[in-house]
Amino acid sequence: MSAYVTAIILAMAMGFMDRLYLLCSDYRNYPSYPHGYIIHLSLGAIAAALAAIAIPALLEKEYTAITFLVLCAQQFRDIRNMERETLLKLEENQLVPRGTDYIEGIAKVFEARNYLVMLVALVTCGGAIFINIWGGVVLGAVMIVLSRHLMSGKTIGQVAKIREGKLSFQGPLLMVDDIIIMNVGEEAVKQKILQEGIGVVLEPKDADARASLNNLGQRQAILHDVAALVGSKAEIGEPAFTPMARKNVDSGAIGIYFLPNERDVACVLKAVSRTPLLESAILKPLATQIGREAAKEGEKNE
Amino acid sequence: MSDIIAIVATKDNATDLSGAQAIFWVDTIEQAQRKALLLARIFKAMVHDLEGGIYLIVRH
Repeated sequence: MSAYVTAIILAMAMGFMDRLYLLCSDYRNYPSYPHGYIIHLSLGAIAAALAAIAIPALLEKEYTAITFLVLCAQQFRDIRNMERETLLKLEENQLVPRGTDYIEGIAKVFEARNYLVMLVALVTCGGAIFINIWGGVVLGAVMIVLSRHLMSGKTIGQVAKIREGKLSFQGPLLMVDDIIIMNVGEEAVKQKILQEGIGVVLEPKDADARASLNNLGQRQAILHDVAALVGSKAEIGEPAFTPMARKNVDSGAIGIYFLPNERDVACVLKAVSRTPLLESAILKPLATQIGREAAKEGEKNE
Repeated sequence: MSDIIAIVATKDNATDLSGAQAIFWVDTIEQAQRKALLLARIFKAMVHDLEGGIYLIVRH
């Protein structure tokens, strides 16, 4: 077994580096608490250590050791539960909540990252044993870059055209272009919304995108991200200042009303654009015959 | 779910409005808006305009 020590240590180091790299790669999915860092880094280190000994154990015909990997995979599921529970508890005190879909997505990402760490450690160890140490280093580095690539999903900007919409009132009804958002009764609030509010219109690029934007969890995720990045004037006892997203039922376009701290339209559009497309919101009607025909019919009618 | 906390209305709506909700009768639309604003702040609710001098205080 001692022959494999270098390979195991290298694999552990590479796996740990991958976790560190993934931790830095996405600020939104990460609660900014030092203890959160410790939890995820130590679990990452454990995952890396486990995967690093897999190949040496196999080569030494220690098959029982391999079964431990399965046990540990089970343990990593708890990470998902842990993240979900933490975020759901914090959700109660959020003025613009993430929404359960976003939380589920984040929790899933955290679980998946540990499996990626295991993959990196496994490949590095294999490379170090079957090629040489440098082979392990190169393979590990390639896997680290790949793991980041694997984990980057689509964003709203890739599936929808995003532009500023005009905020106006039809009587008491707040409109973003032709999309009704809500009924506002107070004159002072109406004036404030017209002066400081921002309207955004998202036009889905195809039927798949339209189905995704239809998802309420996805809309809430957009609102949360914009509020987190730009800052919102939402406040307790001021429901009219809470950001909102409503759909034009005919075109599938989404109208967003937002009252930011600073009225910077470009920043709000950018924040909307970089919101991740949630896994739970991804629907692919265009992948089916019925979906494609329905989309064609829709285009004809427009 | 949303709950109607109260209704503020001008007196000329007296024939159209009735029910178990608390209704605050006022003389002018300005008074109605002011009363609706105060009620909304107390109940952390929102003022909705039904036009014609009727305002609903709704908690969402």
